[in-house]
Amino acid sequence: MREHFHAVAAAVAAARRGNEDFLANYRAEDSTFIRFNKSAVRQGGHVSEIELALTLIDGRRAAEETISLSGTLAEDEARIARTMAALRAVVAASPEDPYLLVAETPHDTERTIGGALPDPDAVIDAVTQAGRGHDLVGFYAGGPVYTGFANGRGQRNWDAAGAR
Amino acid sequence: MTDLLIESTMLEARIRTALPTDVDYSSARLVDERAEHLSVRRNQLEPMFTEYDTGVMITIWNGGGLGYAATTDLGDAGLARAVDRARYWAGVTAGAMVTTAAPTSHAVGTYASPVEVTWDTLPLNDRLELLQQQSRLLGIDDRIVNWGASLVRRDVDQLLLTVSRNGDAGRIEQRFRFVYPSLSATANEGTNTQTRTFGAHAFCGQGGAEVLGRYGFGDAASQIAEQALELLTAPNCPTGVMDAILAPDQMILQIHESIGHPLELDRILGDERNYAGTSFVTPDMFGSYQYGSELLNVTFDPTVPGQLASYGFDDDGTPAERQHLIENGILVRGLGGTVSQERSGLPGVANSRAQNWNRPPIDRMANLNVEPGDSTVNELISSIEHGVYLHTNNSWSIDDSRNKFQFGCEYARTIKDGELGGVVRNPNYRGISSGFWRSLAGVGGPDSSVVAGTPYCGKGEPNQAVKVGHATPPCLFTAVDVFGGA
Repeated sequence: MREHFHAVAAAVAAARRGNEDFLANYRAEDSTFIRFNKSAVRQGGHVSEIELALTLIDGRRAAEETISLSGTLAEDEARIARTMAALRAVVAASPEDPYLLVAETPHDTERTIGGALPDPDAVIDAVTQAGRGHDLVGFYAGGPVYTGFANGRGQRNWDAAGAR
Repeated sequence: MTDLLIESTMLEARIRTALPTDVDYSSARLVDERAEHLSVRRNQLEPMFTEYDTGVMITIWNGGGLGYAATTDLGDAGLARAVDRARYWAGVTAGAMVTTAAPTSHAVGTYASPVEVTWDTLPLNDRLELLQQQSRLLGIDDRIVNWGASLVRRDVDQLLLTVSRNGDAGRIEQRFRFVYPSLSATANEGTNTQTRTFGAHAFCGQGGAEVLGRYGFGDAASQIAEQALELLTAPNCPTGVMDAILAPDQMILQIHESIGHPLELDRILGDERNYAGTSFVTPDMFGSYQYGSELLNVTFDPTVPGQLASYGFDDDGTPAERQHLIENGILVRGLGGTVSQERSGLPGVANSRAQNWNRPPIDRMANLNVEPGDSTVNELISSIEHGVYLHTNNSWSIDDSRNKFQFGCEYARTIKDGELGGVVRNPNYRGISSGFWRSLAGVGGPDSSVVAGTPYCGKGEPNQAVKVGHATPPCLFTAVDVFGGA
């Protein structure tokens, strides 16, 4: 996922024209969700999602677009190119924003917190066994969460929690 | 805007092909959502914001287990992974589920929001100029310290494909078009700050640009700015037991919190005890419980044209139709989809709904409406000796079982000897759901009913915010515990 984030950031940077700047917020999850009621499973499943919030800045004009990404780079590069073109048109039609404030000094960070999360069947077994004979209601959420930030000045921030 | 994904026959064929036919039931729910947010604050256009959110949820029911897997990867490999995961989940939950009830619909049909004036026929510059005009009408006095106007257009296309082991298959295509206009004005003098709002917590709906005219967006700015200033010099709301008329933009909150949520069958079954709460309503009440006075008639009605939560089918594929939940004051039906109906043995409605492609459907309100009565607003007012007329919700607090509540409003006028009196600020009232609706003493007629709604009903883990509609006339309640705020 880290490699995908950096490739996405590079694709955005490459799609710039002239003095355009950008802010890119990358969010992804690979989540397990289980809802319990009466010591049994009500709903269980998995959500795999990647989202990019992209702000294009030209001078003091800016606009933002959020898109879903597939995780397949070639497809995502095409989406990014379409988004940059759409944002360029909106930025051109926008008035200057007197409150626009962009950090000018790049500050890179990177943090990865690994973890060995239990498989869903182990979670279900543990919870239903512990709840046997009781009226247990609850919720389990697990799985890696990824957050990345990139801007046109080269800053890159990456945070991964629960990554295997 | 890009070409509509829902019109891609190639994508639909690939999803259909990916669905397994060796399980009891499987479905794919594709959601393609696009939104445009335009906002002007203090006469300054804020950066424009657009959203494109697309994904699919695969659901598999097999051997008594139910699993889902949702993904933004709509490629063949992504769909195959989602199917494998949903299959895995159906396997590990088999024998561990709280219920063996499952959706089995294979309905075929379509729904589309009624649109009179396509949003895109209003050019971007015209949309921005409209907001600037409204903003200028809001910032009319130095005491108006903050103000804003915004427009949100949201398009949601949804495709539900189903298939069973025996070859039965379904296809439901629904295209929703929403418009949320919004205005606010905050006035301040010394330690007194008052805000009046219009729009997205009440006056929003399905349709195109005509939604703005439907709710009088162009006329509201001056009124709410003047009322915010008026509130600065108004006395505090009187405290005491008195009659109260709730305007439609407060009634929607009253209906939502003290009828809608308590009637959700999954709450009654205990699913939401870990988060959203329980209900004071118990299964034995259906069919006999006197929920309100005989003037109270409440319908679940997804057929109202242009209302926020109108649809043809819920997210389990159940065809949606109008049903009475409360008839002449008696509780007759709950808010629960096919799974909750089977679990509880209670009658329900087609209200199994998901926020988006990445959340599984649960019991939700949709359009939950108080049916009009036969009183004019003047008749409601003239029947009151001592009371208040309360407008526009601004705060709400209600207990876990959705029984004991305390609600606040932005604006009120006193009523004395059958006549509207002066404006009062910080109006609040409290009550208990199970008794409050029995004090319903007057219901406005059809001409006074407003088709309203809100995009912000929250429930479920992980949280799901869905759009709900509430159509209602003004209603009169007797002996209400009213009080002025600080």
